[in-house]
Amino acid sequence: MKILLCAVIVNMACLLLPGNLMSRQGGKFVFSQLKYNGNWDTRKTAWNRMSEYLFTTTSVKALSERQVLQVKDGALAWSPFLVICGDGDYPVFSEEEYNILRKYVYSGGMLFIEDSSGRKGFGFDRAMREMIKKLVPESSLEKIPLDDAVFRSFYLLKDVPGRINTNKFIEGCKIGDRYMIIYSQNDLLGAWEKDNLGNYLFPCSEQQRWEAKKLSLNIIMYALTGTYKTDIIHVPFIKNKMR
Amino acid sequence: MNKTFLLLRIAVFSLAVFLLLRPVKKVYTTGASPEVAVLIDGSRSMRNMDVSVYEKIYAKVAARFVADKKVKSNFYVFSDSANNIIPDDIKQYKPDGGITDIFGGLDKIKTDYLGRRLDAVVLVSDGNHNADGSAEDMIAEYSGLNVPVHTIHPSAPVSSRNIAVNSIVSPDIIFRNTISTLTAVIDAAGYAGKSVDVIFKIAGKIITTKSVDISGDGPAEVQFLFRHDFTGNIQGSIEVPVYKGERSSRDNKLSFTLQVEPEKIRILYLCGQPSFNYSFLRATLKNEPNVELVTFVILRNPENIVTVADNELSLIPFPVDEIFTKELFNFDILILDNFNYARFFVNQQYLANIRSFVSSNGKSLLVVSGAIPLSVYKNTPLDELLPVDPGEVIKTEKFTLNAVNAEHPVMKLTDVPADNLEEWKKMPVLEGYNACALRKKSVLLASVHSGDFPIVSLAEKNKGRVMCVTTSSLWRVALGGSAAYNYVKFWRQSVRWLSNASSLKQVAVFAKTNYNIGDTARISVKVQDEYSRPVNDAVVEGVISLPGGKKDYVIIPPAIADGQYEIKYNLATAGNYKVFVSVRRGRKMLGSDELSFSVSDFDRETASFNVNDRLLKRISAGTGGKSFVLSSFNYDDLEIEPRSLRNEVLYEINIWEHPVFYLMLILILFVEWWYRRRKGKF
Repeated sequence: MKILLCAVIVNMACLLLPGNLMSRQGGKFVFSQLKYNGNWDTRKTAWNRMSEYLFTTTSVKALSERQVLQVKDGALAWSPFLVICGDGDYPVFSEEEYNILRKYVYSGGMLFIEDSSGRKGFGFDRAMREMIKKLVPESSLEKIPLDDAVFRSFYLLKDVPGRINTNKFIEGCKIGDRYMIIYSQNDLLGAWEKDNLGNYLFPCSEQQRWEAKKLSLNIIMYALTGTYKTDIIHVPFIKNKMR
Repeated sequence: MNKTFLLLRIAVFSLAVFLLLRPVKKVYTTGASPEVAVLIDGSRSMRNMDVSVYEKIYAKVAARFVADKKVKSNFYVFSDSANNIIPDDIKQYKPDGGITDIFGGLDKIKTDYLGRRLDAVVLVSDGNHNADGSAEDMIAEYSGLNVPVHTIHPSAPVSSRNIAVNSIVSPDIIFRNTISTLTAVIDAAGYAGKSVDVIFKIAGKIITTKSVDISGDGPAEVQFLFRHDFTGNIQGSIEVPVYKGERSSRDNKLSFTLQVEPEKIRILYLCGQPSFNYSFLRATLKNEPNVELVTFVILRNPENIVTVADNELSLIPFPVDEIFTKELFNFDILILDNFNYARFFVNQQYLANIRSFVSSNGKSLLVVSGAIPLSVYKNTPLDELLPVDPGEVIKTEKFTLNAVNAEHPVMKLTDVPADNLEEWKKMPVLEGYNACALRKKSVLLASVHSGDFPIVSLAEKNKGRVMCVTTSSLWRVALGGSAAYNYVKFWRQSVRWLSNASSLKQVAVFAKTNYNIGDTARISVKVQDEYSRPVNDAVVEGVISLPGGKKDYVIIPPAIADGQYEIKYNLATAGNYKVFVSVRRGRKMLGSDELSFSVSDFDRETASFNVNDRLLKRISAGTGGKSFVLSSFNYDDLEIEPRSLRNEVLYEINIWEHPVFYLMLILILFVEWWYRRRKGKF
């Protein structure tokens, strides 16, 4: 009875949220980002640039505004793709929040975690690794192989790029046959950041920036299509193109 | 303090505590005579043993029980049922039972002794059980009752030479193009050291032959691995050559029928754009072990601009012609998810192919809208297939689902109707739907709570099935619901319904696939209406085609409520039988179904020359009894004792009321008083 009551209250709350992104999501992709105490918003305008690009390049229908939320928000259940960014600061989750996040990833939600600082073994990096270990104890972070669907979901990538080259890899945590947590330390979102005059905010070579953009787009496509590009029907085509 | 004085005080204290506790002694009815049920096998297989087996049973078992005045015994003889027998009749008993149902016999005793005491069961049999029932269940029941079952078996005959295909163990359903195992049990007597060829045939054609080395008398197992390319019922047989000196040649062949089902449900999923709806549904279908999924998602539309060379993109051309002219017909289900056909060069002829895929080929179609309206299919060959009138309005509002038909197999999340409805009420809020109107003859499963717009609807189109989901936000059931599994269950059941699995047919006929001559086939028919509600007032007509071409027309009467109809049919001829049933309710035809089964010209009773002592030992060991061979059986070894039953208290003695304890108390107090007076102060 209690569960039913909670469900009804949450549903009613969702219905009574006019103007909220949740009320006009439709079948569109929504870029949700986690807000926590500390510097959570390290790449403020990345999604604005990405959404424009996604719209002109692909058939994905996406909301142009970003959804900012906290773990306990009802909005999490409307956001199958959640980004966690950070540099020095990092989120500290309570047991209740861990449970919510655990249910989220096991029910089909995908986490994209990005360490914008690219500093290994410090603050955000250390906290996120511990968080993932606690969140999905049955699985562990592994280097995502280059032949995985993540690197083929839209663009064919032969290397692991980034605005900064902290790692020659990105990592992921699998649940079933797909990565439900992807962790990057290469500042992929930083590659998109521009000021109001259109100048890139964070420096790197043009080639590096382009490749980083391609990978971040692939990650969004992966959230929407899963392991589609590893289906047997694609294999000969992709092999041929990669030659 | 003086030791004697201390001891006296302790004695007084102990005695006082003892009396305060009010001890009671319970006397059980242990003096009663033990009651024993003696269960004797009366099936024809006992004829294969020693000719004078019943004389021996009388002399060594029955007569001893009768003579033992300390034991109360009841005698039963069993075959397909168990009946009482007078001990004197055992001597001359002629076994003619066609079935050895040991578990049925033990069950009968259990029922007869309900509310009475039973201290032991003595089972005399060759152990060749050939009826239904589980040894484990029966052992567990007797073990729970604390009643030991002692078993006594006769010795196997020495002089019978025979090789028989005793039984075939195979799954009820095998899958097309999948390797299956079939095990044949060859029963041999008197052919030790011989190598016997076992032939496996399907439709009279030899598939494979295997040699089995007979090491001694008893059963030998041979396994055949095989694969079948076509679905439907197949008739086969296991045969062994007839050797010189065999007692019977009729048991050298055993026929069987197998049902071959499609190995996997093949689904072609075409999605107009990458979306969360696609992502969740794809992941769910991919995880289904019996689903083979091929998907195409349109990742880029013609108007999208890509600034890189084609070889840097993973995109492949959408093979429109190949899919809609050739490949489509290799699938069982087609899913069109927000797929605007006009944008992808799918012409009207291809849509006509989809219509024929469903209507003529009996395949299924699932259409999902919510982002692209169904109106794109208006006035196309697909229009007539849809369960809803295609609407062009996409409403972006939030809504809750109203489970109109929560008990439909697609919607059933739990077995308890009230809980099921509760599960649907708990479903999270969804968003955005394609406003359409339900068509006549369509079945509505779920609608928008605040209105009549259908969200999940079904329709049957000639041989095929169509399902329509008019929202793209069903993934919220997984991510926002209390149990993500409900999403998986809903789609799993939808796929089963679309693939027309037999468990979801409106009319389904059931029977065993293999029988022996003389058996009675129980043919049952399950009838449901289009809402999957049981139909109890239908007319069920059956046509049974017998071997040789003769046909028998029968009316199958209702068995019990719940849409079950049943008939028992005696199988007098060996060969292949076909059963076709058609069901109507008033003037309306509800459906039809058919099946076939084999009847072997093989008597399991006369073919059993060996003793299945393994089963008998299992029964005795599992129930705490003993196992004996008849020839060396000694009655005294049974050691039948009356059991002490906790619920049979004869009387209770209140020990604390006995005067001797009070006298003792007074005496000790007096001694203590006297002792203190005499010795003075301590």
